[in-house]
Amino acid sequence: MQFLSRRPFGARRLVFLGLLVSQSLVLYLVESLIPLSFAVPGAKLGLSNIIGLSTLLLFGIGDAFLVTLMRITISSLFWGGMSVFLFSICGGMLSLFAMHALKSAFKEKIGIPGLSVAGAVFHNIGQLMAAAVVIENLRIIYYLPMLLLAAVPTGILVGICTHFMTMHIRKIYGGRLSDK
Amino acid sequence: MKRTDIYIIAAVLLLSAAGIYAVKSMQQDKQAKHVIISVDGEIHNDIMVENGTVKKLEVKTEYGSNIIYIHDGGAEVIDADCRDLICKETGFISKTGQTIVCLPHKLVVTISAESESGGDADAVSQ
Repeated sequence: MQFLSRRPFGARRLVFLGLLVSQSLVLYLVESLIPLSFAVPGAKLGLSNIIGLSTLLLFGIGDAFLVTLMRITISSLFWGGMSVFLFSICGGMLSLFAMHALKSAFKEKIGIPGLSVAGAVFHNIGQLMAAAVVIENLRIIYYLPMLLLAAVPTGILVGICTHFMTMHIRKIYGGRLSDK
Repeated sequence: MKRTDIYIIAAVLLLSAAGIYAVKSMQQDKQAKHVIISVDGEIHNDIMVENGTVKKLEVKTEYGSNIIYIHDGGAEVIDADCRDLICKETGFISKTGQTIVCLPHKLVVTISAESESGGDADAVSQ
């Protein structure tokens, strides 16, 4: 757990991370109201990743990890259960660390849409791997190509939203985001 | 949008196109086939299906129940008590290799060219 920052939680940062967790929970609820699986069974918009990616860009991997972990824990406590927690945590964490790895590898050369599409792709891969373990059947991998296809438009949409979100948060809070 | 982004998106599109092509080329339309229903990795039903076979069966397990309707040389899940009903939305399958998954119930329905019960192909096929 080297990436978890040792900075103390100041009030400003704590409040801001709490706000991000609650926003991602609301987005998770909104997303469940938008059916997308008529086109691809099991496809989702991935709106929660707006918050995951924004936190990664604004605060770094440590806080993004905490926000994603809290979001998944709370949402599965409310609406899912143990199996939903397992799928979400595999997808969410793989996606987060893939985006972090790409961001560290390409630095300024990679933009938000690329990160978000990659995040969507790895979210699908993580969830399908968890599902293959749960149902003990590798056949579920057949769903992957269609889900990858769906990941492109949804990832770009999430990328655009993240662009505006980070832009405005930076504009409003500027350098006051971290408790330095 | 930067150049790396475009490369990533192009790579994902290419991979998914290749994957869809590969999955499609594995699917064949056969006269006689088996509808294999497995729950939790264990085979629950193995039904020999020809064009005329019509059958409705309810698969009830500790996870929940799915109603599977076999007709026109294929199968579909017509009702289930799971939370997302993705199995129902997947629709009708009839080609070998096609799969319906009901994740909450750990249920998988596949079409196979031959029987999959046990190790050898001709063990149970009545």
